Amino acid sequence: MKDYHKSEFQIALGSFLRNRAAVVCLWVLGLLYAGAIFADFLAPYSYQNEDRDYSYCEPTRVHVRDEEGRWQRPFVYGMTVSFDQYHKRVYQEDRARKYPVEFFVQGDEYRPLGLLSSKLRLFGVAPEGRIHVLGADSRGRDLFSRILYGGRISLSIGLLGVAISFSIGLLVGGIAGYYGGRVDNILMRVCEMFMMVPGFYLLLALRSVVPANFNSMQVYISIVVILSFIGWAGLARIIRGMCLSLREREFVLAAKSMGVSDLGIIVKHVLPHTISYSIIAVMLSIPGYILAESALSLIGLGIQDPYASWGNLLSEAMGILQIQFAPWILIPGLFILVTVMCFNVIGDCLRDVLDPKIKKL
Amino acid sequence: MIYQVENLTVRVNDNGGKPLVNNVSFSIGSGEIVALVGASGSGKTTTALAGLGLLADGLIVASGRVLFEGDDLLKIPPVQLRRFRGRRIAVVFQEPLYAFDPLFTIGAQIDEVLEVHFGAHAAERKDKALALLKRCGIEEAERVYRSYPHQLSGGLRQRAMIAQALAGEPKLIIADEPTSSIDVTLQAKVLELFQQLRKELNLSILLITHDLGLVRHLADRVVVLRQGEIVEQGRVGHVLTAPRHVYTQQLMAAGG
Repeated sequence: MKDYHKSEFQIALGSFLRNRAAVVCLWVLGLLYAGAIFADFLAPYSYQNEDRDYSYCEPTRVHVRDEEGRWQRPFVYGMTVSFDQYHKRVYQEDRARKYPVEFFVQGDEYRPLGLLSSKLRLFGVAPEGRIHVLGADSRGRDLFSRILYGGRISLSIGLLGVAISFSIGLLVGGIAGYYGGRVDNILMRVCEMFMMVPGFYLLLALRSVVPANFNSMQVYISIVVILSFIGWAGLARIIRGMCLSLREREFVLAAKSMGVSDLGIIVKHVLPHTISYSIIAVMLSIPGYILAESALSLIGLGIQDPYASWGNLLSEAMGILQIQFAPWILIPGLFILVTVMCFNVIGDCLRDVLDPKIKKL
Repeated sequence: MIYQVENLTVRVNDNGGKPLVNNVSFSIGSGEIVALVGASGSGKTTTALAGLGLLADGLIVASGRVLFEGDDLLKIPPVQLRRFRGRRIAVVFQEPLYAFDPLFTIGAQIDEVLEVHFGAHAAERKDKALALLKRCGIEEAERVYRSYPHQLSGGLRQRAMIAQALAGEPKLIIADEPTSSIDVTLQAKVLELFQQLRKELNLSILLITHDLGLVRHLADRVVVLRQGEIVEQGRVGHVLTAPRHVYTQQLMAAGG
């Protein structure tokens, strides 16, 4: 098909798919989100399942040959713990206890959508034995499982936060730009007040307003609301600028002359024209929410133990000793890094594709 | 009289200079076509849009009345004035390529007008929109309904624009240079369409143009504007055969 037969969307999609880095990032994000959505099934343990005998246990080695060198189906050894002269835990494989790795096993119970009850998990080992693909944390909880469960919070908070702050930003920017004059003046001064305060301090101040006795769901929602509360102003200003020029277009006058209401015009005929900018801005601002949640959780103001988010998993890695003896607890940071990078690469690629002003010749 | 403009004066906000529209009065009867002619910048469009509250930013109506079926449009609060727009008085714009929103299909935009003014079910509205397109002489109504503005030829687009204007079942149509963006053969067809609509629906039309040929073919009466002031008005036959004012003569000479 020649380019002139394609719609704008098809052309954009085509050049997006030609950007290999962006496609790889899209796949990576897809995997991460799938991991979070199907955490119940993919994770060998629930996020609360702990075994203090495995505190800071290193990643479990999966063996396929026993001590005599015979090939076997994959299995793990049980671990025994002892202390060295520095009172550091030293784990050793107990060759007497072998636990085969099994697939589609009955593990910790979970309730998908709060309705059904299931125990089916992708893989696991028989009780007594434990498998920690990425090691264990201080309380002997499986890091891999907790990362998957943590992804649910860390990955969804970005989407939800962006959804809320963009609704506010688009509406405020649209109204300010469309009406102009005094309305514009007041709304933009309000925006500036939000932008004036350094984001992180505003985050802390707002967080301190939230009651301490909230349960985890309420904390999650309040964090989303707080993050959106901070994020909308910058977008509103840019959308406002675009709307100031869009409202002079003749189709706006035409819609008005047909009796369409002001709000109808803003929502239907003004804001849709900012879509290519908005898509780019969404992609590039999601990482900000993920990082902000991590930062809050890292300093203990975000998601609380036993619930996992990548930020509060990382908060275990605040001491030099832990990092020295159990470097795998830094892995959640790697997940944050990769996620943020993927969103940025995709956002950059979308900008190349959608913004004609900087299109490559 | 369905539409009366009385002593309308429009000026730039906080500007003591010469008004853009100065003390203009004319009227349109039911089923009548009145042409508002003048050079660019003579205040034709401003005069026509003032009543609908669609003046550009910074322009204000300094004095005068605009009566539609006895109601002074200038005194109606904006929220209620919205019910007049499209529903009682509709506007056909000069360049339908710009007057249609490029992001939506023709169908969606006609549908929007129907929804705003009549509500009703989506299927019902679609039938109505297709009927409107057909009434405006579009045979492939279904295809036009699904098309985006840029996919249509100028003539089809202009007809679709007229169909959209008719969607609110208005009594008065303000046609702002409705033929200047299309070529001569299509102009004749659009003229025919206007005449036919006037006959069938008893529409009144306020025709804004600088094309005196169009005026001669279509209009019953003509109002000649120059720098915001009326220099001459009367029946087309009288004014165009025996123009009394020098400006009208100049316009005619320029139009060939």
